[in-house]
Order: sequence, then structure tokens, then C-alpha cells
Amino acid sequence: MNSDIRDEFGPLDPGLDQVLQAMTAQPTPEELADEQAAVAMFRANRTASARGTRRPRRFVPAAPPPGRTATGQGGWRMRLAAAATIVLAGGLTAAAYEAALPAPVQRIAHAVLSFAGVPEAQHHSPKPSSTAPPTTAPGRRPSVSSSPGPRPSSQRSPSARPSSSPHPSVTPAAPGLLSAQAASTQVIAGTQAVIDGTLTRSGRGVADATITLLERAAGQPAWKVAGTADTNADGNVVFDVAALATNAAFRLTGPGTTSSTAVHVTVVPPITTTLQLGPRGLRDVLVVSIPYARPGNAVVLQVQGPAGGWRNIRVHVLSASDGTTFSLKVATFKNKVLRVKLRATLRHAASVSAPVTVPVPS
Amino acid sequence: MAEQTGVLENALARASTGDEAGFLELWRSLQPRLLRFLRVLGSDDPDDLASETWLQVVRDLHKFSGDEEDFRRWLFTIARHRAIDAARARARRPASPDSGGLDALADDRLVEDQVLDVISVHGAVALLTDLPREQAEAVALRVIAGLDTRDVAKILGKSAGAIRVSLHRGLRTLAADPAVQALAGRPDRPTLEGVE
Repeated sequence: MNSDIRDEFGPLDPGLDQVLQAMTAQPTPEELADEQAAVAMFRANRTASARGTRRPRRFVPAAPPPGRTATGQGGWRMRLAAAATIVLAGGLTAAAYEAALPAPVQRIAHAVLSFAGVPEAQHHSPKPSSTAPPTTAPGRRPSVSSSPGPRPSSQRSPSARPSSSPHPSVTPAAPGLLSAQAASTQVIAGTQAVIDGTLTRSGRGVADATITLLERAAGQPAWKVAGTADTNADGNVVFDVAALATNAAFRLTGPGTTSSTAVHVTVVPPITTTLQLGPRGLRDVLVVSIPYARPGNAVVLQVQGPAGGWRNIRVHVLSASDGTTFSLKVATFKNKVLRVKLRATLRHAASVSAPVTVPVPS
Repeated sequence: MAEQTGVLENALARASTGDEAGFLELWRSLQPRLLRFLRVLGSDDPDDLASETWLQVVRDLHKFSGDEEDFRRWLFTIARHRAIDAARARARRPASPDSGGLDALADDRLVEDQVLDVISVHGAVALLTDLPREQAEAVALRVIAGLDTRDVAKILGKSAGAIRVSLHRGLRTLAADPAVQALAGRPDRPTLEGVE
């Protein structure tokens, strides 16, 4: 592939060549992790494909032009069609409702039938005991309280709980309909995430039902029980997840197979920068502190251009978990505006520091 | 990619008739690049979007007639539309009070494994996301998806000349990135004097 690029653009810079090779490198195991689910999906839908081969026609892009189909609508349509196919296949649906299928098959069944209450594949008991103690969620720093500390929803005014979520994650299933949403889908790393849930039946809140919060931190394969709480009179429950340190997905499960779909919360590590001037303009340094960064994270020093855009001038790959130091000469950067950017990883979103204007040396 | 052409043509033909092994061959060959492409587009959940893309492919496979290049163009066109729709849906969400002044959510790009002498797949993909969108898409479709410039132009609705310009600019910007400079064995040379 790079040879094609070379044909078109001439010899590549050696570093760029490596980057392009990396982009087309052999698949990683995680990239092929959904193989069984893909096969299950193909099995469930191939009948239509095979039938259709009787009347082939020239390729016409099947995807609608962007903007003409909202994701949700398109997704629902596809899921409905896929669901119909699965129902015709016979037997699968009932098993899926009971979460009794093999995990990969259950996953795809959940994907296409989640609107009908099919739960996801469970790595744990489908209905964790309400007495199960909260576990320490992976990715949370030991020095910070790991208890999500579910609190009675009565602590919140029912009116404060968003009953008409702009993006609720809803999975109707007998004996009720359990929805979950994050109060904020992005939080500062180390701060609290709030997951709201509502259990309803026939449009009315179900009181005193035990709801379990499941958490899957970024990079972790399994869901873990993060806490339990009972719904209030309106069917509401609120979980406070303290000191969230990494991106995570959350899901609620309730009575029977009632389950919400997953909601995702990403964390933004805060960055603090301090410009320390050395004697006589020597050894000026920009000290960067990023408490929630990890060794290996890439940190970029940027300078603002005349048009307002940011230009990368230096990249550090962190060897320590909490920051780095950029050496620079203030005299060179006088009146320039610098900032530091932490590139995104699986475990956190990208983050930038507040801009620092370099003073004129005295 | 070219070396797989014959194999995938055969797999495509078999998958079209409902052959599971044929589909699996297609999926294994293209899924990794599909995920990388979706990451470049800043998808929140590339796995989910890839699943939706394949679901649509399987359902509409009976309508498809073409060679491997046509199939790849079709696959990445669907994926791109899914990503655009998802981004619009995300944009309609109310802004988080905590995200003011911070970069937009950048999804699950993993650069933790990136080191300066050996760059990972995720590190390389993360570098692309720093490019302007048009350049990032052009480079991703050309390099990751393995499409030729003419097909990239069709997908992005631009002329082939405009795509060449985007590719050239994108590759030049990538080559100038300090991390890429370091990969070339050169010290991480600053583009401004005065930085050590």
C-alpha cells in the first residue's frame, strides 16, 4: 500500500513510512474479538442474502446520503429487520430473552433485539444479588474511594431527575422498562459520575425494586457489580460513582431480566502547567502535571499561531505517570501562547491545559 | 491489500451465496481496517458502528454486484455514513458542563503503547486524528481502507485533484509531526528554535 502512495507522491519520509505501515499492520487480537458475534449475525441474516442472489443487480450504494437518516432511525430499522429474521429462525428469541444463548450469540441477539428486552451476554450472574457488596472498580486509584456509594433517590428531588432524557438508554422487558442515563457523559477525571435509572411498568414507576449498577472500565473485559440500590416511589434510583479515573460503561439490571443498555462516561484528565524561569533566562521549563495520565501517554507541547491555530512543537511520551517537563527558552517564546495537549487513549479522552502566555524576560 | 484481491473475490462470491466461511474471510480481512477508519473519524464506539455496518452489508449483499474494489468502497461508504450520523446524533446532545474548554471527546484511541522507536497501530491512527478532518479522511481511505484516489474522491464527493491535494497536505503534516520525526531516527527537532 505504501508503495502505491510512493508511486503517487514519491519517496516517503522514513518516519512517515513507519506510520503508514503501522496503519496497515496485521490485525490485533482485539480487532478480531467480535468474530463469533459477526458470524452469529451473518447466520441470522444470510437467508435474505442467499435468497437475493437470484436477482443480482449492479451495485448501488445502499447507505443513504448523510443527513437523510438519523442514526437511531436507521439503526432501529436494521434491528427490526434483523430481529424479524431471528424470530423466523425460530427458538433463538426465547433463548435470548433468557440470556441462555452462548455469550457471542447473546451479544448479537442483544444488539438486534435490545429494543425488545434481550439482555447482553453476562459475564456474571444475570441478576446479581442485591446483597452483593460493591466491588472496587478497575481503573480507580487506590488512594481514592472506590465505593460508588449508591444513594437513595429520595436524596434528589424527583423533579431534578431528568424524566425525559434527551438520550435515554431504554430497554423494555417484562416485568418493566429500565432506563439508564449519565447525568454527564464526560467528567473531569477523579470526579464523580452520576448514573440515573428509572424502572417503569405500564408507564408507572415501580417502587422498592432492587437495581444493580454494573460497570465495565475501559480495557476490562467483564462487567462488575458496582453497587445496588432500591427505587423510590417514582421508580427512580441514582448512583453516584465516586472518583472515576478511567472511561467506563455502566448498565443497570433489575428484577428478572430487566436491563438497560449501556451508557458511556468518558473522563478528561486535568492538566496543570507552571512556567518556571531559570536564572538569566537559562533553563526555563514548563512543568506539566497530569495526575490521571499514565506512563506511555503522549503529551504534546503546542504554540498558537498568528491565525489562532495550534502547532505541535514537541511530543513527550510519559515515563512517569504524573507529568513531564518541557525545557524551553523564554526569550524565544516571549509573548507566545503555549498549551499542552494530552492525546486520547482507550482510558481517557483528550485534554488540553489552559493557555500560558510566555512573559517578556526582564 | 493487492495480494488479497483474488482471495477476497472468491470470499465475496461465496459470502453472497450465504457461505459462512466466505463471509468470515471477508470480515477478518476488512474488520481491522474498518475499525481503524472509524477511529480516525472520531467514533465514540467504533465496534458498534462496525457491527451496524456489517449488518447492513449482510442484509444488502444480495443487491451487490461488483468486484472486491467495489465491495471495499461500498463497505467504507456505509461506515462513513454511519459515523457521520452518529456524530450528528452526538452533537445534538446537550453540552456537558464539565467539558468547556476541553477538546472534544476523542473516543478510544489507544496511544499508550506508543513509543518513539516502534509505533503501534493505535498510535498511528491517533496521529491521523490530529489532522484536519478532510485530510484525515483522505489519508485514512487511501491508506487504511486501501482505496485508490479516484474511489476516495467518489466517497468524499470531491475531485480526484482535490483529494490529491488533501493527501499531499495530510502526509506532509504527518511527516512534520515531532513524533514522526523522532521515528525517523532524528532527534525530536523543534520547529521553533529555543525548545530542547
